Amino acid sequence: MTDKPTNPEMVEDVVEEIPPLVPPWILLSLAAVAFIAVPVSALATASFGAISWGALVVGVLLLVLTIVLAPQQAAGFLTGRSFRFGSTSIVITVFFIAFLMVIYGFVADQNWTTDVTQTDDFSLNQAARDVMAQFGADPTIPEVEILAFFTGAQAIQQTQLEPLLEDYEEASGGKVSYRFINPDRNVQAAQAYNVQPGGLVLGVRSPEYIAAQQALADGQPLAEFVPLANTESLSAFEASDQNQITNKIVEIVASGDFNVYVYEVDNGVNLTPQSGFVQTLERTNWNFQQVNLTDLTAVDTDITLNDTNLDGEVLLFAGGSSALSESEVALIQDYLDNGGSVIIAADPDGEEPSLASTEELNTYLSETFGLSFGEGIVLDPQNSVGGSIATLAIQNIRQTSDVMAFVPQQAVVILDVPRPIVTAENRPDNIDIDVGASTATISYTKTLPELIEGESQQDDDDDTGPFDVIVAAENTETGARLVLSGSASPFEASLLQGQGIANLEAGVGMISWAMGYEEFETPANLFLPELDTRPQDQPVFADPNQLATINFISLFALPFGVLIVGGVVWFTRRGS
Amino acid sequence: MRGIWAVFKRELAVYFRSPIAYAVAFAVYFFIGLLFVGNLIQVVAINTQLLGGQGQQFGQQPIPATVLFNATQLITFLMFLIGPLLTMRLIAEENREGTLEVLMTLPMNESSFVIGKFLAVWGYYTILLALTVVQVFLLSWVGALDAGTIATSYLGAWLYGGAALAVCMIWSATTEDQVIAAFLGATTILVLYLSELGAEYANSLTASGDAGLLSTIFRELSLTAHYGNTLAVGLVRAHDILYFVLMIVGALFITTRIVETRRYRG
Repeated sequence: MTDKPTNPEMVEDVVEEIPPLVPPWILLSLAAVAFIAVPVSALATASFGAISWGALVVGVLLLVLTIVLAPQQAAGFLTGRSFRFGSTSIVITVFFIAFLMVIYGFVADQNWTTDVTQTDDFSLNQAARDVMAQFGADPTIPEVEILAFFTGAQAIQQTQLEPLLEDYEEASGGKVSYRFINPDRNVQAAQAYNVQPGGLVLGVRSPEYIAAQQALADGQPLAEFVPLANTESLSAFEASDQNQITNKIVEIVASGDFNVYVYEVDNGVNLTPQSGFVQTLERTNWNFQQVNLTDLTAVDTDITLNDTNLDGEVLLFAGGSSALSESEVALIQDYLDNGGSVIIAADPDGEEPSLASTEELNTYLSETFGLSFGEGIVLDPQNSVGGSIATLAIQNIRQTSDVMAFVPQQAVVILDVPRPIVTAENRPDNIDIDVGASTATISYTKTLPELIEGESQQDDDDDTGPFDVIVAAENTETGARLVLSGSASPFEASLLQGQGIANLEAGVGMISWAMGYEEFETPANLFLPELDTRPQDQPVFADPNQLATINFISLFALPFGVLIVGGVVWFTRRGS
Repeated sequence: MRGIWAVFKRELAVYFRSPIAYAVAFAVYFFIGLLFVGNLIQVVAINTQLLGGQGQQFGQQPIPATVLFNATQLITFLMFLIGPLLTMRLIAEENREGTLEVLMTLPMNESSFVIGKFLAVWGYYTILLALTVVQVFLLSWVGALDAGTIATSYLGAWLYGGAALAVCMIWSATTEDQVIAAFLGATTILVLYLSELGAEYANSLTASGDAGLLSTIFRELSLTAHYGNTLAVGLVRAHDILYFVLMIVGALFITTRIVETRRYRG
């Protein structure tokens, strides 16, 4: 009896007939379940976490196991009729859809987002980005947290706000952080901050708050709720404006006490708390207070000039049509002699001398600081604007001037009926002069009565320019600072701010220089200027011809043109 | 590739010979034009009044041109009608006429057939969408638009349309009856369009106002959640674009499986 030779093909056939240890369909079904679990767990936990990764790994391993245990079945599976149109195709389809969901879940978790709008609707504009960069670089500025309260029904608003908040975090180098809180789930926080859904709460991350948050992260319950410090809130409507958010951040981190005493004058600029100028500066802890002679000199007054407890103070005369009294002049003299800071902005003389024309005042200023207000009103044909020869748009503001440090290059400062400022040739040696703005060489002066009479043309006997219209002086011995402005216009910023006009910056610059703000540790220009009007913000206007053309194209040319083409095509092919 | 191209060319030519395609285009353009012109006249009147000092006491702000651009939003809204109308005959007609088997004798597989059909209808939709750019030029004539927003709005509308058309193709492959295919396609698109409302409804049913995973699923499935609040307003999220792409891929995969099954089962 001989042994039959082994037939390799038979052996191979025998091998093929051995069923796999575990039927492939079971392994594939389990893999499908695992892959479905990936996006479900990611959605449930709002992140591609350990469970999602675990399910993904399990699914992949099951796939590999299938192929290893049943390689030929796997190959036949993918090419066979069962896969293409059998019941297995349903499993494959589910598996494929689950795989697509895995890809989607992974990418969604990365939250790759970009704002392509020209108007930076969902990202920081350059001005805000610069301010945030300053914040990040300044070690004295505390950390800020933005709490955004959005319910589940406000997913749309949350989607649109999150890229902007991410930008704050990135631009500030992490100094500004954010967190979304669902007020429906975290009722305690919503009540503690008294914020409506869609609103924001901004505050300083105090050491107590940081410790409390760390304790919560470690799972330790807190005895009492610890809120952010120095909080400010924004409504849902305000939260959609990044300027509002940035200004609030500036407001809550601003430190220091700075007082601006606005002396009550006749017919001067109305610097009330409602004025845009005052509101802009109060964001950074500048306090505006209306004062008069009694407020400053009474025995029981609360106000102390040259108060060492303050970080800075200045006495501001924003215009004034009446001359100062002897007592008022004496007050100014005493204040400046003791190292105080004064800003005097002039109004033109009427029938009576204005505040800036007070003889005793000018005599003192000239002798002490080498400055005084000149006669008349400066007319500058080169720099006049708005059809009025007495309204000047001063360009080329001195970039080397400290008092004009906030005025951007290429910007103009509007000065209405400015008076010239005279710098004495022989002034004390301890006085440093800083000229902020001057008129053109072809400028000249006229008196107000002459202008009222219509005599604006230059005469031979008129004083000629250039004239200084914003000048600052510092007594290097006493530290006293004086700023004279030929016009009160820089303090009427709310009316004159706009594209390329920097009156607000000029006013802020004068005040900050006068009180020595540059010596304070907080970054100097912490206020956010209003954005220039963007083309996309311009309202739509159309004349009747434009409307008629648009009407014709939209309602007739396009739709009926297509219909006519269709009709022609149908007509030409109707026989075929 | 050759098969895809052959089917694409054939089908695209059929669209431009089909009266339905022109009727759909006319209706879409007329509807968009009607709303556009009506809104424009109203806005110009309001802005003119504000310029004259009227209405400011009510806090009314002047209205810019960006508010008036509505072509892409309207087209995506109308996809629940446009999609079924354009796709209802795509495969259903082949099934009914029995020409599917004839086509399958050509040297191409089912996936090429389906992809070619899809590209043809998507191509027609692309042309339909592209002509609405007339509104952009008209608005730029009387105001200023945001170029970034316009670009992403069109990109999103194009992808949205592709996804809707791909989903409608599933029903066209499922049935021989074009009306049923159109109806089911319209229903599906409408459900996906309104899915975000489903999320809000789910939230309203819970005591905490947040239905958690359920509302998240509804929202992630929604067509509008991936377009109306993001791409349409200039906010580009990678997973929004991926959503539409994967929707197209998934729908075409399902359609291919259906065609194969119907073909080999007779």
